[in-house]
Amino acid sequence: MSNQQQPASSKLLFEQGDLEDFAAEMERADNTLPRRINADPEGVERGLAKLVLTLIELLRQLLERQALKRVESGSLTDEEIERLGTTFQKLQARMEELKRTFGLENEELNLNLGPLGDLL
Amino acid sequence: MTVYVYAIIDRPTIPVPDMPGLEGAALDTLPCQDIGAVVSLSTVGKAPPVEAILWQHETVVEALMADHSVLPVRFGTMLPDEAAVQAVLVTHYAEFTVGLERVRGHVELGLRVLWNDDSARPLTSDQPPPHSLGSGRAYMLARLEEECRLQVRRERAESLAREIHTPLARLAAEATLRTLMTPRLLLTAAYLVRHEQVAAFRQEVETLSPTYPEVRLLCTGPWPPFSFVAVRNEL
Repeated sequence: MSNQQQPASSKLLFEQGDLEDFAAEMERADNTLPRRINADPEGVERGLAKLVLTLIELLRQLLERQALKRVESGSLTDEEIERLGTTFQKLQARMEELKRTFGLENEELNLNLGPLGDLL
Repeated sequence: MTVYVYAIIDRPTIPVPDMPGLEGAALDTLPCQDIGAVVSLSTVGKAPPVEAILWQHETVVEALMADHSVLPVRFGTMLPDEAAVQAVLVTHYAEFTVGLERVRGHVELGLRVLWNDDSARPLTSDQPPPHSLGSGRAYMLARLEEECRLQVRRERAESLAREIHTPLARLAAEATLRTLMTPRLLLTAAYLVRHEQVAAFRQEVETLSPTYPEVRLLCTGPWPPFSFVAVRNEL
């Protein structure tokens, strides 16, 4: 059946540099694509943690962006900026802890929304 | 015994290519009016997605492209029996016919563009985490600066991706593109290109490459038109 196999290189029309670089980056991109939730107990726990943390991260980023807009527009006093900053710092530190607990990387906390692009 | 499906084709009366399918089983066409499904019988069930078997599926689909317009079916698609395949053909006849017309005479070419810029890494990964900066105010200002920097980078990425994509899209009937799927993966695109335009497309990629020293291009194909009319939900 060897006559059926074609080398993958026959599919390269044009390439620049190391293919490994492309492969690594495409694998990274693939990690953000939606997957079915794994049915084994540990997989389910991690899958759910990933989903919940993604949503928390979305809210955190939305709030932070909103706050940054207000900082930029100059509508906040120094004291208010200080307070907001401290709050977001704490939130971010807490997120880091949760990510470590569940062994999740930043790039895993994203959802691919098909034609709408990425959530984060 | 289940039925493994490779593709939906037009002109079902043309004999299938003389090659074995998965598990060495014979290929067969199940016709429905002027379209058909190319199948083989499977005794072991679900095919594992390993390289050799994926290539075997791909090779069958590509061989079909020599004589047919082809809607590739996702790897690993199986139905319980021939009647189930027939039912799908009958139910989705209209969609399949439109799809086959759309890709007739075309192949898919893929493009990946890596961006070699220094700002690919977010600042937070090579600087101390912002919560060690001390004051809340300093944190907010650092974040503001990073947001501005990222915004500039995103805009640069969009325009660079468009510059590379536009001349290639001109050689294609249809195209899909996504920018920055990761911070380095500037562009991920697929192009539906006429057979006879493949060489011109390749030439255009080669011409573009020295114009943009900050990126690296990878162009692959020709592929069955997976990104344009892959049969997914129907089966």
